[in-house]
Amino acid sequence: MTLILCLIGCGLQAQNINVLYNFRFETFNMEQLKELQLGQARLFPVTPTLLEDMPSGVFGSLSLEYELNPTITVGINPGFSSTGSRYYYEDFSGFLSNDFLVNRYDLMLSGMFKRENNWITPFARLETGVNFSEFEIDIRSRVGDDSSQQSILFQSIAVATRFGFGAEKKVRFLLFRLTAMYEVVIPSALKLKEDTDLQLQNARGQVIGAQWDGLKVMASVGVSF
Amino acid sequence: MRKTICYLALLLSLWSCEFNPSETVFTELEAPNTDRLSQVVFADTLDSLYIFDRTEIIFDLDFKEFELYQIEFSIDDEEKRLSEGEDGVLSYVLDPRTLENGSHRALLRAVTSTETNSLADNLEQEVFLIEKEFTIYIDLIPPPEVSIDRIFIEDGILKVAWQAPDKQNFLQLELNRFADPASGGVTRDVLVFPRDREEYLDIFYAGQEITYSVEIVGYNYRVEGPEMTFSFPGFPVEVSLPTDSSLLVEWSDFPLVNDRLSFEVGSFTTSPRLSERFDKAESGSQLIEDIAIPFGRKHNFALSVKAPQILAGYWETSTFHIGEELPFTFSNVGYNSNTGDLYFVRDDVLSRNDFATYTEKTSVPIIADDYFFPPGSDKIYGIRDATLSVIDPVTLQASSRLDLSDLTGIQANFVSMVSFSDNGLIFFRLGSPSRNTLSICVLDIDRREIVHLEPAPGFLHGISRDGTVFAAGPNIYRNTNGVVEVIHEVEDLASIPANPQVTPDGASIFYRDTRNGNTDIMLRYSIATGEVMGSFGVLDSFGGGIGFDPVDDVLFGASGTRRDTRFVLFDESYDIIRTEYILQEQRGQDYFYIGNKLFSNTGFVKTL
Repeated sequence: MTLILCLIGCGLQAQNINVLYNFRFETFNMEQLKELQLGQARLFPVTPTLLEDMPSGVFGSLSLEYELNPTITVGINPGFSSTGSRYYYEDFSGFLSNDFLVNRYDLMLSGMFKRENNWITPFARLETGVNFSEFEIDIRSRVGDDSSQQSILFQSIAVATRFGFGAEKKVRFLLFRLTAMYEVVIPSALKLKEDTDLQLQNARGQVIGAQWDGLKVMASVGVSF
Repeated sequence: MRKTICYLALLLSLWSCEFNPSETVFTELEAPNTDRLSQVVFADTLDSLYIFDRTEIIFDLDFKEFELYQIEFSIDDEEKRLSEGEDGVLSYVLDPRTLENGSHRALLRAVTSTETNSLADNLEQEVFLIEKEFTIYIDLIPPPEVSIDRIFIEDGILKVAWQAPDKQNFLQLELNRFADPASGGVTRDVLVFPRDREEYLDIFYAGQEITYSVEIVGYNYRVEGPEMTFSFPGFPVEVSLPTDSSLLVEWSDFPLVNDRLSFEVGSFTTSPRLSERFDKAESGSQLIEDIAIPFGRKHNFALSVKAPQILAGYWETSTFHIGEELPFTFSNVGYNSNTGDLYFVRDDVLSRNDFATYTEKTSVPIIADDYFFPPGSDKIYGIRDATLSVIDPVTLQASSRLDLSDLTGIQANFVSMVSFSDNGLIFFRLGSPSRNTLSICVLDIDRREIVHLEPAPGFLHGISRDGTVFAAGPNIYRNTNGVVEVIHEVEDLASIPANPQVTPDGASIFYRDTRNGNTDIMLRYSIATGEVMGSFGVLDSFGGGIGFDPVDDVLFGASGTRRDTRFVLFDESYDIIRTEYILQEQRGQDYFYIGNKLFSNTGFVKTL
């Protein structure tokens, strides 16, 4: 955060710095975790209902950019994403809940290649960077008067790349931008937080990770200095 | 303005929206319903158990749709291990000796599913607890002695009154009748009285004292009680013979009031058993007609009473017989036409008796083994060894003795098959000690000379009254003034020369016809022609086949089967004119027919 504030402070001293806030709509693959959870659900003594299934979401993020020239802009983009799923059963005798919660903190370096235009500026955008994922399995139950809860936390660091296209419009010092990208994440194992030697595996013994791959659509509003 | 936007963007970026699932769904299910437990079925026996012996308690349980998770069985809070059979039936073998006498609390506790299909039910944490408590009674102590309070007659039924022990381990009371109290032996006469019942007593010992021992029998014990003596009054019954083939049974009042009583009367001394049944409820009489009563024995006749479903036996024997009973038994009886008397050869005396009254006129000690009473002869003859005694028919003293060995010149020691002719000829068979030299002899008694002697011709089967015809061995002979000649080869008449009998007139001879393997036919041949003159049914009960009345020469015999044996009497045309039931077990030589009187050597006579 200190770095961001410094960049903002620097931007205040120049005319080629953009600060944008992004409303980022994201879809996620997460097939490996879905399969894992389905396998767990089948072990339930009752048939649970799948209430959440790694839904897409809209997340806010910040972009700090520097325009090297009128056609090339570089920047730094920290972000956060979160999704999850739930298998759930409840009757008069109690309930059983199996929640998967996946959070991601990413820091991406971006490059934009613009084409000058009088009314709107189209561009191509490429981002690459790392993301830090936290995956939590949360199992809670109550049978009669007996309640229990168990949480297991996994973590992973992966390299991701986004690429896409967009267009922006500057109105005086305000910057409006719409970007569509697709993210590809190089798979990385989820490791138990308490013991990083233990990796999350599926029923077939294959190492699995958080698959953040998917479409990313950003609507950004910012200012240019 | 720009700074404001920047700070706003920064502020918004700090806001992170973490995924937080909150949606739930509730599945509606029916809660556990204990009313459904009424479907669970326990065996009826699990109410109370009386255990007196090593017993397998079988838990016949049906939990219906409820899955059985756990089952425990305890006695007095001590858990017992159940056994499971191949069919899944649970059981426990209880040895009563492992528990003290008395009652014990048994508890069967089962844990089953609730079948609600709820989460807890599926985790087997929602269960029904089913408990069945029952009592086990252990009683290994025999009851105290049981005694018969009394024997009495009620509503015509003989009953035993006794107080059954009030103990579950008691099974029954047994009365064991001693055949002989002195010997202490128990007969098969065991009367069993199940617990708590006043049983009918089947007693056939009217007029007697009966000693019973009382035993109480239960699980694992048999306790002998005191001996008891019962006495039952007799039941009077009178039997008379209106005819030779009918019985009149008369009885007086008796304490039986049942509507339908079955009376069974019978003679138990005959074979086959003589038995008739009839129904009558009151005192009275019953005429039993067409009943075959054998001649020649006393019959003990009894009246027993049977009511439907029960047996109330009262009886008293009444003795009767056919004909007249002589005061003695005999082995032979003869008739002397000169004296008109009967002669009985008894065990140790030869007696002369009145023909009509059978009263004894004279008797002397036996001097011969066999006595002969030739028809028309004025003498009686006795044979012992090879000595012929001529006996005076009045004094019964031997007037002379002839040694037949000396007369024949044959060293013999027995004489058999003696027959007499009216003209003083005596036909007999003489045998040597080795029996290798058998001879048929004809003795002229008046001249005391042997008029004919034929070595080993076979059996002597009879002669005509005048002695001119006789059957001996395989041949029929004619005797003409001592000159004997064969007139028929027996093989010409029948295949087996068995049991021929010459008629007194010498005109015919009887043979059993065995030519076709049929021994049930007697044939009568003409001696003159050898032609068959007639046939009869089997006449085999007499040792000699048939016989002739010494008074009027009528033919008699015996025929029948083992179940139906009859004395038969023929007329001059050899037609059967009279039959009498006789005892099967007696042979024909045990019957004598003399002058219209039928004698049985068992000491009976009947005038036909």
